[in-house]
Amino acid sequence: MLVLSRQRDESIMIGEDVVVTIVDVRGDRVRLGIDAPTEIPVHRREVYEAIHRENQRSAAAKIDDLDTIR
Amino acid sequence: MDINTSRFGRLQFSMAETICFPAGLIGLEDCRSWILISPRPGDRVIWVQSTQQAEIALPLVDPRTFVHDFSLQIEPSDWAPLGKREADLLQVLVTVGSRETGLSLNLLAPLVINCERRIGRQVINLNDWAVDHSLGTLSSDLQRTA
Repeated sequence: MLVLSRQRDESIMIGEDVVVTIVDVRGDRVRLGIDAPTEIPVHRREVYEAIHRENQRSAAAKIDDLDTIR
Repeated sequence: MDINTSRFGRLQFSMAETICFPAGLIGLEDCRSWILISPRPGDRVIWVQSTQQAEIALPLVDPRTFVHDFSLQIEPSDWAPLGKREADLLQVLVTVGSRETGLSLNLLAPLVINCERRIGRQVINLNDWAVDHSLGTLSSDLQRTA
């Protein structure tokens, strides 16, 4: 993993289009500002993973599984 | 065009019927072209079927049918690709998951579809609803009243 040190109000660029800025640092909390094109969705990782799991669960459903809510 | 789906057999569709999700779905980013189908007309469940992968389809419902106080608030960056915010153009649907304890709705990440532009996006609901909202007791209530 690439590790970079940054201070408040400094940024990194990912490719040409994504800019991540350190907005605030307080204790163990860091606030990030992210500028990215709309075709690059940005998610908190744990939220992304939870939704990914639910999409997979939903995609595994069979037609008969839905009989109780027809 | 047609696709031989794993659940619904061979489906014929026109390009005009497809809905483009430019970012795919979360975890299914490569699946950008979908069609909505109602295998059993009159059902509350409709399916969004990938036109690119025959085995990928997700069951969807209108969340307000099951969760009357459901609300949706999304970031401007999620709105932008969908175009105008006219409510009558937008369809909000949520995926249904099947688990051992019964069915659940993903109220955290609805699919919002602009029916006029035929563009969709899976958005994050800022109103902090559950990713696995249980329909366990509700579905049996509905069965009793049916």
